[in-house]
Amino acid sequence: MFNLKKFIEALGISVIITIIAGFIIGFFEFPTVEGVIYINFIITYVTVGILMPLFNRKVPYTAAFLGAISMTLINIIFSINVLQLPIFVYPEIVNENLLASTIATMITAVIVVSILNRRETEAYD
Amino acid sequence: MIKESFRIYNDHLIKILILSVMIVIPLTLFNYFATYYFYTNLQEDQYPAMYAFFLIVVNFTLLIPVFKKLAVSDLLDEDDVSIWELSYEFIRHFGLIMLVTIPLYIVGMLGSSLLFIPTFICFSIILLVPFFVNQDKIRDVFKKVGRVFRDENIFLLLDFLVIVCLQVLVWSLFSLAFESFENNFYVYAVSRAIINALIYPVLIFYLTMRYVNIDSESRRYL
Repeated sequence: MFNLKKFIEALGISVIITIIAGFIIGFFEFPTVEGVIYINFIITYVTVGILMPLFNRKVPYTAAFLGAISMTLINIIFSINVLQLPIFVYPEIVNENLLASTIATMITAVIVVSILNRRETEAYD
Repeated sequence: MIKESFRIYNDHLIKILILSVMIVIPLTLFNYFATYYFYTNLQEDQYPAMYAFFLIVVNFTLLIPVFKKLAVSDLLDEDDVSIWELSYEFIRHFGLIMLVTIPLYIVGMLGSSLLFIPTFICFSIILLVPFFVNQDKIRDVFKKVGRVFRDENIFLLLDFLVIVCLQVLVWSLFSLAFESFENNFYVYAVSRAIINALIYPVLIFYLTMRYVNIDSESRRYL
């Protein structure tokens, strides 16, 4: 069964990891802003993809998909309210955002689920 | 209750010091720098003071599960909880506390024109949720919060008074020490972090004993 409490816990942990990663990346001097954004993007959605199957073992793919979408929504709402960027004006950017984040999360989730399954069968043997 | 909370503070002093170095001081410094960023970068019509107050509130509520677990395990005479378990408590309940705090804070701020009644209700729920966050289902969390809110109702204002007064008292006493120096932004950040590491454990032990029903006979708490 889908456990909402565990889902929220995993989302919170990935938010913490994003904040800490962004804080640490700020100490290094990257030549471009795009590099910082890409690194932070990869860290965020890979953590979502790793943590969601671990916390919701029964329904890993649903949890990973919902986690990716809610993480993107949190990012979009934050950038609209705090940074005052009108993102909803450009539908293509929202589409790209959702697509890229979902793909990154789902690929990680598939790999993590296969690793977990193999570990379980080895433990059973 | 105050004597008992000081006893717990005395017994677990080393653990509390390690926890403050690991969690309390970095969190406070981060929130202080974020407040500074909001104050310098946001315009006047974006209300930077609202963001600053939100960060101060969150700084207190996020730390409650950590010290609550320490107090409960001490009162139930359980085995020593390790540092990792306590810090995992902070990491685990981050999401739910933020998810409850953000909408209720917005509602409370918007409702401040209605004689501050929605503000009081929302801030009481924000204060009470971290004490009962350690349940399996979200419905149980709100059921327990509702029970405490029904029993205590207006006396929660006294607790707000205690929290705010202790902060202001210690802050004013502490800032007397470097009153006449040429002060920096970092001095205030560091002193704020030290004060938070000093008082938050005692406050949270006291509030835990007030709200959480602990029955040491049957070794369980409600």
